[in-house]
Amino acid sequence: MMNIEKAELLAKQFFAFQFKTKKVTFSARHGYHESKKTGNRGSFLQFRKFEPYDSLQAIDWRKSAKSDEFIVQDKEWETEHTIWLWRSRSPTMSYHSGLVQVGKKELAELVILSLAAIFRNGGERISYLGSKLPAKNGQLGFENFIQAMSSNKDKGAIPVTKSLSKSSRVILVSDFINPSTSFEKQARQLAQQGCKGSLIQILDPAEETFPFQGRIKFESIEGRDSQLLQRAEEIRIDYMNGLAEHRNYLNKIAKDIGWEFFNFSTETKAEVILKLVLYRLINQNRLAK
Amino acid sequence: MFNIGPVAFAEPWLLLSLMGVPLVWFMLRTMPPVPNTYKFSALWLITQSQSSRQFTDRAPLWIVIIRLTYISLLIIALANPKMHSFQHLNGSHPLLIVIDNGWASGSGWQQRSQTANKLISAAELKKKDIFVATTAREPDRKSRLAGPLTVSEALLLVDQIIPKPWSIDPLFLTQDKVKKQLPRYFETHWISDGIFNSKKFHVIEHLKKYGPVLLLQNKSLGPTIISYIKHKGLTLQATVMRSTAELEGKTKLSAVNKDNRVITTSNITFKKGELTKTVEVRLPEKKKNEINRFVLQNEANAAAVYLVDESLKKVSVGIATRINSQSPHPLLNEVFYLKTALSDSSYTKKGTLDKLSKKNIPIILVPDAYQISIEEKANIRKWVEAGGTLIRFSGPNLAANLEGESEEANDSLIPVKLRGRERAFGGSLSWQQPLNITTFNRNSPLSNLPRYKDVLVRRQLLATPAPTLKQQTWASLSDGTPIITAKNKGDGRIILFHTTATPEWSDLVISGQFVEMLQRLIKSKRTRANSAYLSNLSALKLLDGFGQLRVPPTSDIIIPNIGLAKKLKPGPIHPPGFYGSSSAPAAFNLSLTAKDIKSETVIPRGIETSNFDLVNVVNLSAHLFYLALGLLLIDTLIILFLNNDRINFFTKTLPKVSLLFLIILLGIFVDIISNSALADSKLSSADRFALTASSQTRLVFAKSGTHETDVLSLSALRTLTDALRERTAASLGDPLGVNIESDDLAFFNILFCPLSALKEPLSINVQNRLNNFMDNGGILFIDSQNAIESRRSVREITSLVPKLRAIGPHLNIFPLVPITRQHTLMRSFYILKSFPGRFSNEILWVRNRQFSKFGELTPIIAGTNDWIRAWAKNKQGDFVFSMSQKAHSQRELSIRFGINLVIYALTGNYKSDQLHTNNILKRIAK
Repeated sequence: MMNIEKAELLAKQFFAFQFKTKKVTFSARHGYHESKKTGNRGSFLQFRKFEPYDSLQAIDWRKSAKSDEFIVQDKEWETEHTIWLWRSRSPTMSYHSGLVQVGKKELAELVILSLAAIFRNGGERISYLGSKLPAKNGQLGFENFIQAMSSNKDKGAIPVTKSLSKSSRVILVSDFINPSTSFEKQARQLAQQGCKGSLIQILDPAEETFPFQGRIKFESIEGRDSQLLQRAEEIRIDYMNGLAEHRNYLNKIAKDIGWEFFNFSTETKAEVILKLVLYRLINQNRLAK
Repeated sequence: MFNIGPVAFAEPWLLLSLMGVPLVWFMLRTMPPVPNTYKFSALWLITQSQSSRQFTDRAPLWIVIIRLTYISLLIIALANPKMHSFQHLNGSHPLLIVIDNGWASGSGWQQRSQTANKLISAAELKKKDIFVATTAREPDRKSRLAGPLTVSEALLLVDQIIPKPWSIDPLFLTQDKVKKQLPRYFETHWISDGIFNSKKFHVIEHLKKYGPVLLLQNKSLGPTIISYIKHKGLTLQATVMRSTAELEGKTKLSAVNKDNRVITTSNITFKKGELTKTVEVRLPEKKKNEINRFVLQNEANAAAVYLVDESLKKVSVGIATRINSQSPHPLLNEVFYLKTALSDSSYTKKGTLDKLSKKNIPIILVPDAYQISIEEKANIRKWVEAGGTLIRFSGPNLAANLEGESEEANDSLIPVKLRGRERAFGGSLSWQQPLNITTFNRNSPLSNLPRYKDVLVRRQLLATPAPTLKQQTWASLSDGTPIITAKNKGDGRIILFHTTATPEWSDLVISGQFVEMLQRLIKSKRTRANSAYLSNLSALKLLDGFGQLRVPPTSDIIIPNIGLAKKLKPGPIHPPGFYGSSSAPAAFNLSLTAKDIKSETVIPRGIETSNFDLVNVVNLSAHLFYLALGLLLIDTLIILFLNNDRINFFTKTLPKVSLLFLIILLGIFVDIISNSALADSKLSSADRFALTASSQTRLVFAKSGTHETDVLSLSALRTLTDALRERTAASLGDPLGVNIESDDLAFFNILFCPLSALKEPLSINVQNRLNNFMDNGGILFIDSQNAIESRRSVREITSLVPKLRAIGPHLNIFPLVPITRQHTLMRSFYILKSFPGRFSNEILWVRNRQFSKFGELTPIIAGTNDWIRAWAKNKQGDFVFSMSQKAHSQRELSIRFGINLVIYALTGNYKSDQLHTNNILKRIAK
């Protein structure tokens, strides 16, 4: 389902990407060692049952002795240096006009997977935004990411995770086509934690240019609402104006919270998107230095 | 009928539903077509853009108009509109329809009466008064002009008009009486019989004074007739004529017997420009006497039938001769004169009296030189009493032998007592001059014979006066002495010429009078009572306008006397047909000449002509249906186009729609094709053939390529199949014709093959196919259908073998041997002794068993007996061809032979010793 092989191939075209800031590198190393120590790092989050992916060291033997099962003490990861990736699973993502072979959903997935693979190659710690699995670097972190990505069931709303460190990076891929006010709130909440982020908008060419003609009854993807057009071609300009306005609005929010906003159509190849996004990330790091 | 302009509606009430169309309009406008739906992500953007606009959802006006149009078209089409087109009916002047209903209009009468019907319905549309006139005279001098008529009256009248078997007389239209009945101005449409002559021209010129005249005629419908038929030597010569010579023409002359069976048929081909054609019909004597009439096939007029009576039939007449009894010099030979005089009307056979009387010859002439021996006398007396006619001639011999003869005059073979010696006129010692034959007995067959003044009688034998002499004298000289006397004896008659059969005693034998006398005398034998020459004849069977013989409606149709009738022209009072007694009917034919049938090829200027399609009724509903269907398709296309975005339309929808169109077009195409009877199924012809051939066991015949032969073969095999089904356990399918050059023969047991189907010489390919067929157990049955049977045709029978060798030298059928009585074929179902078809020749060829692959089973059976024609039936289920003799029993035997043949083909020699076990056991027991 998810095109991991393709993503891996794409990732190979890029050098192993690593944030070069001292802070980040340090954090990365720090994070790696920290896990071996018990107790005092991070604040306690919860007790839970042992899961196969937990390491033996994670078992709270004292707690386990009290019950019949192995108990693990989850600590809240103070991941200051994790890269959080996310792509939307809203119904609108599954719209595919057929004008281009690649749909929005596939492209978004490919982009996010490729990014994850690239970061993994660079030794970065990655995680899927909203995932409960621990963020890790290396192959383990990648696999956790994939699992979280495939099991995730949010309907397009950005999961607001509270424990993002300032040095974390958030990359969100979606069509951002719905004018919901909740998006703005969620983005701001994420940004308030101080982390930097990118919004990548991917649209179908049909959504961008509205190439319809004639008498058509349009329905929403969920099928709840509909709109009959006598001559679809007549409203094209209005439509495109409306879309431009919407983009401006998204752009404005991004600027407001100090994030970046990209927009692509599915006509753009995944490599191009990756190049652009990574280029901007590198640039930012330089600036941050 | 409800008319709008030239269009009439058969079911006009359906047009009422057109009132419902506005309702449809309303519904269509408020119920727009269902749009295509499309799921789209950014619906809110669309809604936002659209909110600024106002629109109501209605079907576009022009779609509604298209739909209303085709709904209206459908309604109109259902009302079954018909369009009359006629260019020549103008205004509302009265219309005179002249219909030719003489003998010439019998063929194609259907078309003529249809044209009249169409004209009447056309006149109805134009609200014209209608007059109808017929040109053939009516029997009861009834008026031939009717009018003014209403439409229904006119239609009824036209229905009753039938063609008459006599000539037309259009001149009555110029009479004053007719003028009074007609209005001052009228249009004339003349439905012509295809013959345009000066009489018609004259009448048309007359009618033109009152208004336009249109001559409706179809050149191809001009009549073809049999003008006359006469003897020419041994054959009958028929003269066939036609009215127009613009095209090539083909017809068939058939001789038909009393039971409507065809005796023989000859093809007649007119070349371009040929009006008259003579054909010779060659027939064996026996058959010739069976002829009842000659008929031109596919021609239904009274002149295309030529009735044949005794006058056309030759009688066998015997002339008694002995070797050396006559002078070798022909001019002194009595037989020579008698033969010459009889040659036109009879066949002469020579022989001794004994021989002749045994041959069943009705009339024997005995020349003077022939001495009747005492033994012969007794025989001949019996023969005369049984109905024979003996005609004797005087001469020195008879005169010399008178003493002995006249002794017992009652028993003698001389009608009256004669005086001892002959009487001579005009000799040097005589005061008397040679005399004419002047008086004919009114009660004799010789009555009304024309007199010939140059015929002089120089010598005669005188009769002894007796009370009965006057009665017995049929012809006498101007001084009253008898020259021909007769006496009835038993059923027969003895006639004596008191002069010689050579010019020695009189000029009689070298004059036409002698020929006529002999003809009368010969004929008189047949009609015994002689009534034909005496009284009026009543009609026996009359020809109708279509050339069919019918029993006359009343018995008071008579014809005065056949002698007079020769000068009579058939007409309403004396229609053509058979008159007299049924045993010896007299034929009264139309006997038309070239003058009667002649038609001007160029019609004078100023006379408008047209063919019968002038009046045309076109049924419009099919056209309207197609138009509505077309609009429906266009509408569908438009809707599809409107509801799809263009990309989808051209890539996805259009192909599907075009497929639909194609299917519909195909449907229309198939409809049209099947209308023209060209529908073809998907099976290849070979497959179809194999399917029909193998689904049932069938009898098959080889197609000859000529339609008639194939039809005959097919009907013959049907007869056989039916007989097999009735009498045996073999239940076969419908017979089939096969093409021996291309069709697969492997499916069949027996192939019936008229010799005419084998083209000489057969190609190697066909020979191989036939060999292959025979090698695999098939039986080839060849029927050479020789039409002649008689003793002398043994040569012809044996000539079949060389013929077969010429046709197929490589066929594995030789050597052929005549079949023996022991052959299984003769015992396979019935025990047969002969194998007759129409003829019963004695030889049937089979393959020599020493050379046959299957032992006794022969792969070929060939013969000349014309079985196929013997079995052939016409559509009415009657046998078409007559048999050579003993019709019923021979027909039955021929069918039995056919059954044996098929059973033999189906079972081989399997039954050769089993079928008749009972008989065999009986024989053994004996």
